[in-house]
Amino acid sequence: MNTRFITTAELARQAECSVAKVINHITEGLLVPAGRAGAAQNAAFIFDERDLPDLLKTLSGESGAPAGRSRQSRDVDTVRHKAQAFLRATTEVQP
Amino acid sequence: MKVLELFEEIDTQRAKGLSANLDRYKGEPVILRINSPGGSVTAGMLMADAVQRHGRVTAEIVGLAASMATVVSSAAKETRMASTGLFMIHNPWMATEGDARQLRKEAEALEKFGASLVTYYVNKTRKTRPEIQQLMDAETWFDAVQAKESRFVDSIFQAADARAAIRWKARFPGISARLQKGPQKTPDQLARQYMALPAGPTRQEFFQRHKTTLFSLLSK
Repeated sequence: MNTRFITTAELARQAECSVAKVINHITEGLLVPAGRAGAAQNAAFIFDERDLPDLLKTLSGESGAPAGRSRQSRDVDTVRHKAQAFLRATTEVQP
Repeated sequence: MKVLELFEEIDTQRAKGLSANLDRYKGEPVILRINSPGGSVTAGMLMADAVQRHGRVTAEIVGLAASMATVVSSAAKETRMASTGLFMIHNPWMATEGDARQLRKEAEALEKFGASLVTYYVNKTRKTRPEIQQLMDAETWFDAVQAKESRFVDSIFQAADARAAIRWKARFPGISARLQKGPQKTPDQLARQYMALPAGPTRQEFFQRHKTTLFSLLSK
């Protein structure tokens, strides 16, 4: 399996919206991240790239349905990809 | 202080290597640096047992400790984590095929493995089994602060130290291989080995490799 993951900021860039809007959608339960690291308010979120079309539709308002889902790692490569995305995400939330 | 590294995927070969090195360093304090996405459950259990049996291992998570790598770190006497590190626990998973009886057998084995992993985490964190099971069911990722709050790690060290460790490894790639080979010989042992070698290129090469130590004997 070659699953890729994107960070909150990367999703915001794809959707041409602000990071705050993505976070608000997560808080409201409209976007479900594939994972999060830590429970802090600025916790790093990651999304499965396969969910991208649905995530973009929800962010643009084209669809009101919740998009994305939590995904378990089924192999070492997925763990690596998730970890890389989390590390990128951590860099984004830290000035 | 001996330093060993677990910087790859966990497999049987690496588990045997780590187990042999820990047996060799029995009674001595050992630092085990970890940056691993996990791997084979059985190999990870072998590593964790070896770490626990040794009893004087300090695990240092310098990047990622995920899946079975967290069981290994939890078996250590003390666990430290870099401030930018990541820690992830989840249920063991396997791909298999076979008839109904075979699948039931595999599922039972997987449940038993899962129960053993929970025991390692419970011993480390003093959380209850259901609490740990819930975290594993959800595949939980922790940053260093949360891993410490959840008692999976005992302390956090600054990431600069971890980066230094990785840079150090990059500058001296031979050090890891040397550690895999076993403890360093004393100058006397080296001198005896040198004298026992027949004159020729092998002896010259040996001298070049250990000349600093051999010269130190001459200067005494």
